[in-house]
Amino acid sequence: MDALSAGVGVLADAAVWGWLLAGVLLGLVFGALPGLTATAGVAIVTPLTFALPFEQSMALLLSLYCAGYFAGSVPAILLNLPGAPGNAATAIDGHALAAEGEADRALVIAALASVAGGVTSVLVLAAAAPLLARFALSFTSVEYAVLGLFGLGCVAAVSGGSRARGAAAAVLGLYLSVVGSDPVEGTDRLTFGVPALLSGVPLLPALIAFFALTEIFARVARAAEGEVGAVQRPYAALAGAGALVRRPWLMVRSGLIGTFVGALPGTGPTIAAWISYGQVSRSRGRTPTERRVSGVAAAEAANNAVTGGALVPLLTFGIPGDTVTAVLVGALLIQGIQPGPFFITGQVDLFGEILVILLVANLAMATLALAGRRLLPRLLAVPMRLLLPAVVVLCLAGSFAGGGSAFDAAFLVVAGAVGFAGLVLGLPMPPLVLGLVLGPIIERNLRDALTVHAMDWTVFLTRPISLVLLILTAGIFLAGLRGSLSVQGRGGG
Amino acid sequence: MRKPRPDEPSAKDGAPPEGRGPSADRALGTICLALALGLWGLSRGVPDASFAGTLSPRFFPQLLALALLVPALALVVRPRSEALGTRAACLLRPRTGAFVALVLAYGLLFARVDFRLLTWGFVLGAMLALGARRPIELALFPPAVALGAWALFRHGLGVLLPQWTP
Repeated sequence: MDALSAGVGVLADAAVWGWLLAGVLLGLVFGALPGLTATAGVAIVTPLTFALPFEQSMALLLSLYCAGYFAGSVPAILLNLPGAPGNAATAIDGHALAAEGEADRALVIAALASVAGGVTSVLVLAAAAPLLARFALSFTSVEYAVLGLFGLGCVAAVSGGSRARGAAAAVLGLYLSVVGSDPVEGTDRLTFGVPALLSGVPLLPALIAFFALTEIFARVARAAEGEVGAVQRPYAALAGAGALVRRPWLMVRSGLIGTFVGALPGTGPTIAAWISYGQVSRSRGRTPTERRVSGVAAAEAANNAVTGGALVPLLTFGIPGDTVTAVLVGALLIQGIQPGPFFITGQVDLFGEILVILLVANLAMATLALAGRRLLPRLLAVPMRLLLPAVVVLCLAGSFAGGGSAFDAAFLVVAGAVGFAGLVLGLPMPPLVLGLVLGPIIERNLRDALTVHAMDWTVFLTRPISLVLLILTAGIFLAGLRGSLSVQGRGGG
Repeated sequence: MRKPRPDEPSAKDGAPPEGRGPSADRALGTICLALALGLWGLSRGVPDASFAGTLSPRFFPQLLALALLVPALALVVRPRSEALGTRAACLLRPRTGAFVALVLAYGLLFARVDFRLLTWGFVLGAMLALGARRPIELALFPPAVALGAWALFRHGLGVLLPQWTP
């Protein structure tokens, strides 16, 4: 909690508030529009933070993150069309409530549960991250290499509905990370004679291409415009707060599920929301409406609790906890910050600013979402023929702005087109991007580990943390996290 | 009947592919097999280590080529998705192809053409591809986006976008 007090001073800066509110609004837009996700929003906005100081950059991006994860519940409830996979569980009970004329109740519950989950995760982050950072200082290159593999294994196991597709995407992402000059000997690898590739695949354009552009193309291909029904019976926010206060164990459990699932490298809100929702679906003794309220609350609390949880591995190990934090790696690098154990121990003030900003962002998100919930459905009525071209312009301009390079713009569109073709074939994007981000970490640490230990491969089995992580990786990948996906099968019928 | 999403996961585990023609998994697996073999070959062209006691620069690419073989073979041997034709139907729609082509052209020409002009042309073309037909929309929205984005990046963020100067 010392970190929280160290970061409170950031709230005295009016510019931080301005960017925080802008981020919440952008997050609500990106999250609410099906086909545009919080990840896409963060990826598109990240290049714009070149011109911003650290605290303003984090205010913009973290608030977009929080609001984006919540806002996907709006189309989930109103249209039975989740704004993001993490809101799919919300759609089941949320849309059922809307069909009963209780759409406003569902939106209120979703907003309040989201902030409850988000605040829970910030408190856990504040308490756990410094401890984990000290623990991470005992990690050597052996543990880091295996941890990167563990993160990749987690996301590959749950992406795309098939471990084979997830694994293929992860390996292809690792291949992209190999392109460029070898970090040790400086020899060219897979550059095909293109000078711009000597420094590797450009990270920000790749993130925008695989997370934003592919989704835009998929949206065009789906060609479905949403029809928004009217929000029926109004529901007071205080009544919603009371409903959640009467479910204390549910809120705490959902918040903790989201936080700890988010802390697993490479996972994200989808798994958290389904696990949390699955716990509710087993409960008995409530009216159908009350059960649906519990279902929405559980799913959304866990969904937003991922935001703080995913920052744990990012800030302590430098390994992303979900797709948004994979993009935040780029945002931190723009600010000249290398995430890892030395960040928290050496820059307590910056860590504190992140905590405070995340806390305030959650509160601002709930306030704006509740105040504007009658307006949120109108976002869904913006025609795609206007919205999508404008978003593509932002993608290109933002990508170009990062390095002023024609190659970046060209790479963006080519990668986006290739990524879309892969998406059509069933190749999931999250493991592809995680492979790109984690590849340098895995390879560098693998080579360092073997160099230090005289090419003795058994070191990965003899060091206890490495052995445990390898067993977990194998277990997660072989068994899969099908439990959560089987809940999807039961609940989504 | 609900349209299949192009990014939708497969049918239930173990279920045979739905629809006629090769499954999307088999197509993906075949592409991955080809990539694995091709990348193995390319990796052989990477120089070996200059000194002993460390992994060579070609080790990781070659390891990845072998790693890619496993899921590729799994996808080819045990496909679990719907038919390729079903999933790829979206690509055959004129508006999807037109939109993707416009985005490609926009990106490839980005640094060569004045941003305002190129953006106006792209937005107009994209709107037409997506079905916009109202004259007032077509007349006002493209220049608004072009000039608005220019102002945002040039004056708001201080970023120099490509421009033609007289």
